[in-house]
Amino acid sequence: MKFAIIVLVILAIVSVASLFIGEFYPVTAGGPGWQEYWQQELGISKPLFKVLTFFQLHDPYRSWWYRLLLGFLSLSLFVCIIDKLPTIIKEIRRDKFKDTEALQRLKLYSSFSTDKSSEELIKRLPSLFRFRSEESENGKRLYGQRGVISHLGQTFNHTGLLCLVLGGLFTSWLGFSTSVSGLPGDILSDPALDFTVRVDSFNIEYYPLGLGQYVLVDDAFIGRIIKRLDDERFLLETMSESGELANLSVERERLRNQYNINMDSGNISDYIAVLTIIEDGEEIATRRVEVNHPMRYKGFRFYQTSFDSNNPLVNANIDSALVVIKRLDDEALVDTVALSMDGKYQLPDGSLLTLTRFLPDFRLIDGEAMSASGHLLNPAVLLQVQKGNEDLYHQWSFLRSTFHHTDPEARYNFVLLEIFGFTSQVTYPTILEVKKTPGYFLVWLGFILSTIGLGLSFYFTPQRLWLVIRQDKGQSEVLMGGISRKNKALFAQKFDNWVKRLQEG
Amino acid sequence: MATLDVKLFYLAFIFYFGGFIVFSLYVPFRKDGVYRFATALMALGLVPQTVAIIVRWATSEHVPLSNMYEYMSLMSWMAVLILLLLIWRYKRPLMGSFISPLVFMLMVTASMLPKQVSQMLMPALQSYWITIHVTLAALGSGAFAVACAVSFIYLMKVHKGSDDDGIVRSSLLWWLFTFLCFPLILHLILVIMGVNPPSVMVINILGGQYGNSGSLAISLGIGLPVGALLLSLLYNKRIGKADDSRFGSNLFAVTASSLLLAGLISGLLNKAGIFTITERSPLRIFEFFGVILVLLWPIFFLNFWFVNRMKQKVIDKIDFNPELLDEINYKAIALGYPLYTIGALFAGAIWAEQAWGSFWSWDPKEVGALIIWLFYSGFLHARYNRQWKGSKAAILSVFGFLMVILSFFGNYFFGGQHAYT
Repeated sequence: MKFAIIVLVILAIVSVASLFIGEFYPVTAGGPGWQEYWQQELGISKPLFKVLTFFQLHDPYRSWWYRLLLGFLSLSLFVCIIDKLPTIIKEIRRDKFKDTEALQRLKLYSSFSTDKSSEELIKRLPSLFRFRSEESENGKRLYGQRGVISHLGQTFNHTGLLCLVLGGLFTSWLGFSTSVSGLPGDILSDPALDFTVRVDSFNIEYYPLGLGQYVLVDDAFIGRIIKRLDDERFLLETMSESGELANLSVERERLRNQYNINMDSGNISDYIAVLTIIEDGEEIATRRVEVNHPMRYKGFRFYQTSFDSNNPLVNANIDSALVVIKRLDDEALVDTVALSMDGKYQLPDGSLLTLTRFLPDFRLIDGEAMSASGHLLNPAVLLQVQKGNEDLYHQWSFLRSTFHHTDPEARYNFVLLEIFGFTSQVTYPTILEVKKTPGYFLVWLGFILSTIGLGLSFYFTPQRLWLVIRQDKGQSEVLMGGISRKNKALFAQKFDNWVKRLQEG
Repeated sequence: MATLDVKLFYLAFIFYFGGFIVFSLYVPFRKDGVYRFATALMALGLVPQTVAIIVRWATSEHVPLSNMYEYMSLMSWMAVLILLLLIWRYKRPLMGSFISPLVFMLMVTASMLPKQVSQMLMPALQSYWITIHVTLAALGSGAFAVACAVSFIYLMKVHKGSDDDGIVRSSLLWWLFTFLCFPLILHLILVIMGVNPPSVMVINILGGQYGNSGSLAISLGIGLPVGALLLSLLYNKRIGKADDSRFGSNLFAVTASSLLLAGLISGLLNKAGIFTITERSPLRIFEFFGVILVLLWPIFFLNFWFVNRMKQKVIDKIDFNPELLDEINYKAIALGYPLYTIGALFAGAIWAEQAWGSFWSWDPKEVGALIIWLFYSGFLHARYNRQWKGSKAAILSVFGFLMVILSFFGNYFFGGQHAYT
């Protein structure tokens, strides 16, 4: 018992301390570059660092000594369960009937005489108690009890907790966790899995216009919906330039909902991925995985947790682009032409200009041009100049900005003036957590046992009543006593009421 | 421009405020009519608050338990419900005089928090487990609040008022040392050692801005929990042993209730922009503690003076059997503990497993809930195995509720998966 309390107190202190340790170090232990950060930025010397890592102070909850403490806790729980069980069984079976002397020794005890018969008295006894009776030489002996099952509560509760701790320990030892990411069509695999998973589709669902949502009005300013006036109009809360809040009624068609994926992530209602499990080249099953609805296969669980907003697959198109062509040497205007996608234009020197690519949000990532989003944030077109079948040079031309060529082959400069017929479709890679939780069923068993135990311990009160009724010349002499394990003051009040009810008419 | 549910909340707020005032009047004027009126006001307040929760449910299209206001509102609702049940069952109206101030404080706290309705729950929050998780945790915390209020009465009640002046004087000196001198000495040591915690706390008073006063605030803030610990040590070692004089319990109750009040006022000051704390710093919680500590000094002495003036006139005349108070303290915790265990810990873990894939991830709030749970488990075991009753049980109950409040506001100080407003 003392041992368990010491372990619990140490666990509590360590947990609080670890809370602050975690808060103080911005670079998560185990994350990229944490060792360098700890040694250089925090100025922790090599030997001290070795001590720290030996005790895993950077991640105390998963350290060996924390597990050891949890192991001790399990041990003391186990000992406690075994130790208490005989007493509990004895308590449940304990003295069914009491003789007069034992009855008189009870703290709650009362004796009185009444003219009622013993049958009538028995009818007036509290109905929540189950009474048994026997005849003895001193009169009729009665014993009633309720809620004795409550004594088993602690056994259930402690066994449940033991299951929880063991389940947690199993999982932290033998569990497996990784994160995989992929676009629709990708096949996801991991060395730990003997099967692969194909992403069939991945959709991000948005809430329809609803209360509390930020919306873009007329592509000009942001408001927050505070009331739906009718089917077509919303009341918005906006902020003026002086910083004052104002309300505004706006028609539905003036509002835009999904204006920026990073800003309006609060509008996302669900992530839905459809996954196909493939084993030995065979498609085993196709399942739909949503947030809060994981997929289970071969002991592994796949959780749809998030999406990779940094690496979207952008499929953007334009019908045509208006391009201003200037000579590079004297900046003289050659022509202004509307080029369709893959459309060609013959330049004065005989070479051919082709519009080959369009990106709505141009970004260079690892030397490769790609679109960071599906929005017109940095629109650019790729213009290719060819002579015969030979590529001479190419130029990324940004909307309304001049580009300074360094290519020796370049003879012309192109300025993107306007784009027409812009459409874009963005697909994000899904992020799935793959986990193996060996303690899963043990943990669930723990929840169930503990819940039963708590119910038994706290919502049932073991109470016992004893009576001895002696019949004598039409009078009944009654001795009554009772014991309650909890709620003693309230039980005493009730006991008085029961005595009164037996005595009075 | 408040929405209907917020208007109803404020209606309930007014009723509870009325109930609190009339219950306070019941202390000097022991007329049955007074307490009946007060009880009626509390019961009347429960109606608009219940309707407010339902209206909010209807407009937001999900169970209204997704932010701190909604949580606090449900917690106070539970406390009022238990208050009415206790008065009905035990016929001790004075209980209302002690529980209603706490209910009122919870309502003030709830009224400070942002109340915007959002129909959009992030994907992970769309699970019925969250409903079970938050409802039961809020109801459990509400029961702990009642246990704390009852413990306050117990601690005031057992103090016989026949104290040796020496004990009073030395205890007050010890109080001053723990809460005033110790933090200042700590600050001095830090200054001499050249340790200057990074802090950009700003205080705006009377149009003036006093920036960078945070490093003092941090020393004071560290002094608050350390002071509370030292005070408990004093109670345990010296005053608790002197059985004829229970001055320690009196001192403890006054300190703890002043602390709750100081926390509430510093919350209001922060909300009003009187002071702002450093953003995203692990030490920010101590800056907040520092403000609470500064407010604690005047509030404690006012409270101390008030309670000791009222002592003989009022508290000694309260016809409570301390054993009954002790039993209600235990019963409220016994009611709240299973709710809290199943709600805050079990349902939360099951939900976390479904949403993120692990039952337990040592999120700051999870650790907080675990510590609260360990604490109340300790309380129940100490009571069952060591017969810890009376003052000891009452002090544990008050400590437990302070931890519940701290964990509630932990959302503001620690990040993690529970960082909702």
